[in-house]
Amino acid sequence: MSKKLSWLLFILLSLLMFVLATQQMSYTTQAPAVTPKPLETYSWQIFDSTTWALDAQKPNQQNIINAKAIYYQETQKVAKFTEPRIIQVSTDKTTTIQSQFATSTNETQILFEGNVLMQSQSLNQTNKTLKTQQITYNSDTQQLESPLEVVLTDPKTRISGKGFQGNLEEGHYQFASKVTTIFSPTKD
Amino acid sequence: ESSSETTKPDEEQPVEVIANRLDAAEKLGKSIYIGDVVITQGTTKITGDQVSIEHPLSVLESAVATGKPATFKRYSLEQQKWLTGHAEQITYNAKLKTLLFQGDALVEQEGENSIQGPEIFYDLTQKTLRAKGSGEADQRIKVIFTPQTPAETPSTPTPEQP
Repeated sequence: MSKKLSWLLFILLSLLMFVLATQQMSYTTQAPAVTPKPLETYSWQIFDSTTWALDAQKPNQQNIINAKAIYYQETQKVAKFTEPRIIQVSTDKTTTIQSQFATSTNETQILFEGNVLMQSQSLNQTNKTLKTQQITYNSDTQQLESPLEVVLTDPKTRISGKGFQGNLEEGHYQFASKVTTIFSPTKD
Repeated sequence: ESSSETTKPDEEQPVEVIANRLDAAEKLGKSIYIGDVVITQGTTKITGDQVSIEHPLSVLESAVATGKPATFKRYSLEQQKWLTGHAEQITYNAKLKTLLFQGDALVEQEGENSIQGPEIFYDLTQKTLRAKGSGEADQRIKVIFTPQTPAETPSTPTPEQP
């Protein structure tokens, strides 16, 4: 009799194990297959920062970079900015450029995106403002480029168009399409 | 535009330039507009394939329009008539308020007269026209005076027909 009992017990136990196992499996198959996204790893990151960049070759010019967040990737030399505001101060001119986001690649090219506003105030030139949703600046060539609409204003004129390319430093630029310029009336 | 805007003389209104492309050299105060260029200032309108504008310190001083042809039109409030014209090249001097039509030029005062020639100079302030030609056949000046229609002639008694 006791032999029969132990045999029965053995069957019940294995049945129980089987039920548990299948339930476990169904549980795992129900859960969505979440493959963890590889975290973008940054060499360093800094928040609510202000940094000064001084250039030995250009003693009377300094660049001030203010940002809500900067994430820097050493291997690819990529920096991502949140709410950057870059101010370039020299003896006779101050230029600021700000946007919602920016990405700099190989430390010479920086792409500004989202409500980009660029302002230049200078002693011997009219103050200028540039507005767009996206613009790329190459610090080697000081060339600006944007595929989207750009609006350039100064106290007397407003120029808008698409396909902007130019060097505001030299004051030489092109628009590739949809150009509209408005000159304010002159008082004789 | 509000009515006060439209009664304002053209020279006191903003200048709008529309084009396909723009090449600007700001420090030189020069811009070249290319492709279906239209310049508008109040009732004045100039069109051309290409327009070079001089704008030292962002103030428009002159515009040279070239086209096949370049065209011009402007409404005279005093005379209540349109002045229209075309030429291979039209130079508008905003400071002096003058227009120079060069190359197969024609200027027409609506319903009055028209003048044709190689070169026509129009002073917008004085409302005077000056045409310059030469002895060669296609370089002569041609003026057409449009007879006034009866409605316009003052009522003077016409002599009895014999």
